[in-house]
Amino acid sequence: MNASASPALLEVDHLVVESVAGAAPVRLVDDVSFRLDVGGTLAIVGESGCGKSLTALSLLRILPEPGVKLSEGSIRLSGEDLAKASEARMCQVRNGAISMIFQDPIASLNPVQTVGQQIVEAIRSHRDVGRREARQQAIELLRSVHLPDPETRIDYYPHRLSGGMCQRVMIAMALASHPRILIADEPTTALDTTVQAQVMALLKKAQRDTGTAVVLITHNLAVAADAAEDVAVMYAGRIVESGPVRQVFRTPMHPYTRGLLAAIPTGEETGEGGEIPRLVEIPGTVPRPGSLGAGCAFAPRCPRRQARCTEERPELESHGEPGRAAACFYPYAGTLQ
Amino acid sequence: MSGALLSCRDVAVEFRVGGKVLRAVDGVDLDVEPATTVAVVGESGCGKSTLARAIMGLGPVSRGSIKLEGKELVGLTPRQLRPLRPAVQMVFQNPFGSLNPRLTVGRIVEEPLFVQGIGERASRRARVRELLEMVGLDAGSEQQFPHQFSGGQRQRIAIARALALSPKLIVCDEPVSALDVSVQAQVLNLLVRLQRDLGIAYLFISHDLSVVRHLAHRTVVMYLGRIVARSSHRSFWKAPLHPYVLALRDATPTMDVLDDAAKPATLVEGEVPSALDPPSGCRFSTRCPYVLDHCRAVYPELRAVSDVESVACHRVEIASDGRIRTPWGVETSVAERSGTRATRLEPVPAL
Repeated sequence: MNASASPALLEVDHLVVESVAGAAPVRLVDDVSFRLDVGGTLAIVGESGCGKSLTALSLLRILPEPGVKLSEGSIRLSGEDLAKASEARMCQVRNGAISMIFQDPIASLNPVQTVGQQIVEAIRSHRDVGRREARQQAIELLRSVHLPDPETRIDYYPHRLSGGMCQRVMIAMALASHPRILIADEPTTALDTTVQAQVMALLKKAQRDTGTAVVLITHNLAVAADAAEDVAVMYAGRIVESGPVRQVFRTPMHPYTRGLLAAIPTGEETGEGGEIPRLVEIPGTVPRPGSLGAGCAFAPRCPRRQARCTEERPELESHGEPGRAAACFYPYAGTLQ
Repeated sequence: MSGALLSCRDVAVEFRVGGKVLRAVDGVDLDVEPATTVAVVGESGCGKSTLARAIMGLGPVSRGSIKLEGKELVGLTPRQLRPLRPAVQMVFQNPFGSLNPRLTVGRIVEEPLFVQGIGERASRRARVRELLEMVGLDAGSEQQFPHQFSGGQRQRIAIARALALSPKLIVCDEPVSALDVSVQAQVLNLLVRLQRDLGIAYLFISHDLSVVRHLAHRTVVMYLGRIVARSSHRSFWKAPLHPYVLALRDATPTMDVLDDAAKPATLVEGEVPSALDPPSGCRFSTRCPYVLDHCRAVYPELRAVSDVESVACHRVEIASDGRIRTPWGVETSVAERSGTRATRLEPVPAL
């Protein structure tokens, strides 16, 4: 993405994830490249099946193998290629340099261990501290994520906590190793609206306090706009547009990005006493993996489709302002609306 | 009250859980007029889905009355309910779970006609084709099975099934929350078009404020089983009166954050308390930044603010000259909050 001089914290190049369950391999993540700087936040947005979660899982090499595998590309963490690292090395990286929190916090915690046992395990696997000391640190971590009454709740089993509290525990565990990168895969999707906002505020605060970089996976463009500096929009396994989040969402270049933004109901355009206006639709549906032809995957749904789009696939290339890229032969210029 | 298609009065739904009483819905008054959309908004546990199920006759009703075109539904046996069912149909949240995977789409959409004993085989088939066309599905999809369709298309099938008996009211329980943004717009446009063409009313259960703002003529916000605010006016979300409505709006991520002038939202603390052990007085008092001792002691009844709006909050001041002051000190007036969004909607009488 950005060709800045400083070395990236994380540099993903030409990542390919394939499903090898069927007769022929099917590319689920296709030639994805991005970089993440120290302390930065990158949002990867897209609809279900676009490959955003698989991209996140491949960073930690926790893909659902053997059906799905990382088959090409490099994932360089401060220069070290994790795609080629040994399993023993990956065990150190997981919940070490890179932590992850998931969409369903209740399912992500071990139901037969107390919250405290799980956090203490996370602390002691990375630091040489005694049980008593680790427990004290765990209480402080729970306090830092605003879990009410942490001295008592540390001895609770996860089922006694609400979804929002479990997500706070997950964040505390993820931060226990002082990770350099935190991957958050739809961290608020399963939570109630008011709790969602609390958890997003907590993630932002944790990032400010610890300086960790964040990869935020979300389907919600507004969440990405609020929390991220950079955004990569994925469609059918590929990044179709990337760049600084404000620029991308204000002046989207790719027809898909533009369509997604226009499809969000705002409620503002409704005149008093008027008819309810039509929302802008993207016609058709997301293509199934493996059903893609030679051209642009979005071409069948695209309002700007030309003959070239169905014959040749556009690569993600720099367009317009520095740092911005789009995979489109006929990108839009100018602001939305 | 005249003109209401559906009229709920003091509806309560209670469950016994381990010797305790869980009041999932606690004294709800709600009207739906023909050809209008009433949205019920709230977080999990607020009772919105339980209320929908009670209206459909799918759950128990402990107290109160639910009338459909003046006919009382509460207390009827399933056999007595059956002839009334065509008037009220339902679309569920999960289009993967709500369609029988072993039936063809044609058979799924035909089922309500079959159950009600309407028409002959040939006329029913013709009706099915008409319905599928109405929701924008290709001819020929009636031979296919649900698994051959995407989420958005399946929701169209569910809508076609709900339309089969020409209902006057469709209860939509989170009909687009399982769908992707690009498909969500298609389904919302379809619902709005069907309402315009067929005059259907919707009771629209949702937690998504942007969707509700788009299509609701009237909005009802619930918290822990009770209605905390309702309004037919567009100022409802722009200038909320109730602290919970403000909190809900501010917690909802929107594209407004791209605005340089956007100011950071104030967040309420804590989570929704357990419905098994709700706070005394105002249900929101444990999280409300403007709480007084009085709020913890006495439940605030819904008060009419204007002809189209009511609010259940002790701290909203309504002066006799029509000036209104929110708990956080914003001044507004009854005049600014009158009149409704839809011309066809009659003013909602104050209860």
